[in-house]
Amino acid sequence: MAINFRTLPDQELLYGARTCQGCGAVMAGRMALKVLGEKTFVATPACCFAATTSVFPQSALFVNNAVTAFAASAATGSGMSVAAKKLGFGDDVQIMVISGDGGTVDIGLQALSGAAERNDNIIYLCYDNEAYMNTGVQRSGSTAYNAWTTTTPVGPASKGEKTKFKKSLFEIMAAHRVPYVATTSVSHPRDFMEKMEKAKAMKGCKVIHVFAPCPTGWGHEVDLTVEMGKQAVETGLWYLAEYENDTFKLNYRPKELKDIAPYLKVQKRFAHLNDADIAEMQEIRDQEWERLKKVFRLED
Amino acid sequence: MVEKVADFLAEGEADYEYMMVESEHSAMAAALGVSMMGARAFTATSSQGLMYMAEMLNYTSGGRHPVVMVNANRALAIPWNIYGDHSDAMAMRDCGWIMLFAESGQEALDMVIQAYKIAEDKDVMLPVMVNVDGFTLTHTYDVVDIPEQELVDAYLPSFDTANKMCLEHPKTLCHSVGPDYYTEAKIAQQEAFEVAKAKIVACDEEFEAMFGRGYGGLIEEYCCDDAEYALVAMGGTVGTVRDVVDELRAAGEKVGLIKIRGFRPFPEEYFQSVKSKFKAMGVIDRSLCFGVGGTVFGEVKSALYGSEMGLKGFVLGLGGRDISVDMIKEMFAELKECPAGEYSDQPIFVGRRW
Amino acid sequence: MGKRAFLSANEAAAYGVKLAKPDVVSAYPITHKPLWWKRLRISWQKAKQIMNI
Repeated sequence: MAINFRTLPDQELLYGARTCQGCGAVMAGRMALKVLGEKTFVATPACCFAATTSVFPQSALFVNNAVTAFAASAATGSGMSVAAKKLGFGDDVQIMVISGDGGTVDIGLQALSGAAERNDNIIYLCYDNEAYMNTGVQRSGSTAYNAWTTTTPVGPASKGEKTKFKKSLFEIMAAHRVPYVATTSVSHPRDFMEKMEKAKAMKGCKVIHVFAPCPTGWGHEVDLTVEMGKQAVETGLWYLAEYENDTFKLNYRPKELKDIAPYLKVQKRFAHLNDADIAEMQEIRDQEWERLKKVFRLED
Repeated sequence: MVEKVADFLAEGEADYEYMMVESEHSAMAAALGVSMMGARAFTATSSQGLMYMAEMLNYTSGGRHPVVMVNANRALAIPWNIYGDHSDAMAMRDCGWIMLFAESGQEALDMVIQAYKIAEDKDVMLPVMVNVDGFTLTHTYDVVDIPEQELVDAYLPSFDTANKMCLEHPKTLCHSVGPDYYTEAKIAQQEAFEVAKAKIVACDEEFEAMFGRGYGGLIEEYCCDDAEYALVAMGGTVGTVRDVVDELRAAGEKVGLIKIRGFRPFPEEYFQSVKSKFKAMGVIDRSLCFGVGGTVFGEVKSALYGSEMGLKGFVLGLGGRDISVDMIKEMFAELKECPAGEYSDQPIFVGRRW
Repeated sequence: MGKRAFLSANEAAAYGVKLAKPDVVSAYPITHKPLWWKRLRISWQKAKQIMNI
């Protein structure tokens, strides 16, 4: 589905949020609501998004919103969508769950799995900033290999996060055979908003995993959020993809994967890595890319 | 009971949406979502399931969403035990839910209907937990009167609330608040419980007028007018105590029964009003508040502040152990030996093996 | 006076739920539903057939 930026509404449904400068998560929320419109009901767990938009007596959201428990966002959204159906709300009403990576791939995964299995009519948007940022940069199942976090500190005996790959929400949700799963990035607004538009037009459980750099947690300059997203895609550390109708599709394939060093070197969370560490990470990236090529049935 | 709730759908006798969720945590989270949209929500749980949804209980109560839930009272692990006692509900006594305890299948049916009327009252707006003793009630059979739908419709108006999401006036529910407002939110809940005390009684009286069955609201006294010794009980045990009171009364003994129907809000005023009525009062607890004793006993003792009656706290029927007629007679016998002003500071375990 | 039936408290409470007409029920399996109950039900249905009642 094509998005025409000229005809997007000027109306902002999310502004005045108390986020850090350069917050990728709030960009995701803003763009998502631009597409979904004012007839959207949001459920969000305790996370950066909730803590920066919904602290009484203020709200940065101009749509209905509920702040629910960490593990409960998908189930709360499910309940809202089933009630909306029962109460006879029209098809133009959207239920969006917006939750961070920790709230999705860790504590929220069970509830999301249930919602996916029931195929409840929700759009589940996971903004991935690769750690628990709201609570102070603790690692999650989505944290990048070798990244410093406050629970994977760097020292003589530690190089940061030990798990070599991010938990693949995309493949986990595809395995639930929901109508639509996509990965995207706040650095690619057209890709992101078109995927939101596509999800909006579908019934059932749609899951969109959006890469959302975090200057505070990653330690990059606040004006580099978009650049970080772009580099992640160009280096193959992140990818833009879709799953629908039992088919996996990679939306963008870099001609050749860029060197990851420049991406890592502007982020303080990777500042401790030496050339050998970076070479190892690049090798892991290559292996992961080979694996993804099989998932997406790509030729060499 | 969720099976029977599903049967009604399969038979075409009901038209609710039925969400089969993957956990109790999600069951309550979904019920919260349903209620936030302004729809009437129901769920049921028991034992470990209640523990697992604990977090969401405070969300529904703090958000003032009038969900109704049946809890089949069962023991908590460990040791793993599937049988009945009140450990589960008592562990959740401070979760901000109204907690009612049914004595029979009939009362369980009637209580669910009453629960919605209480919960959805505009001045209450609190979720209600209908407690039904696991196995001794949930799995035993009795003749039950099923009211006419038209009469229930006349008793229970459809759910209407301002505390919901609204397209015309979008709002944020379950807000985060700082120290500036949290206290006032909690005071509002406490005040709602005070309102609920009267509403529980009023809803029961209205029910009695329409259906011919009343239960006393928060409390029922049985043979207490001239009683010298009274036992306090909750849930299915009440029925057994009732029989024993009849038997002992026939033998000329001045014994009575106090049935606590509303545990939250707690009928403190009632206990204050009877603090010099009896020679001695005993409390039957089916749960332990470790380091203190019987959970209900602690509440009763507190409500009887200043009383000169003898007070005894009995703990029995844990993990499904039978509460026999003989045990109840034994407790009444102990009360007769209890001098005025004396109270048990340690739980008295009735029917212990060693 | 409504209809009289021989019910467990589980079933009785379920009737209460039906009569209260909730919009949505969310449920996860809770108490044991013993298999003998299923058997009993099947045999009762068979018995009704045999006895033609």
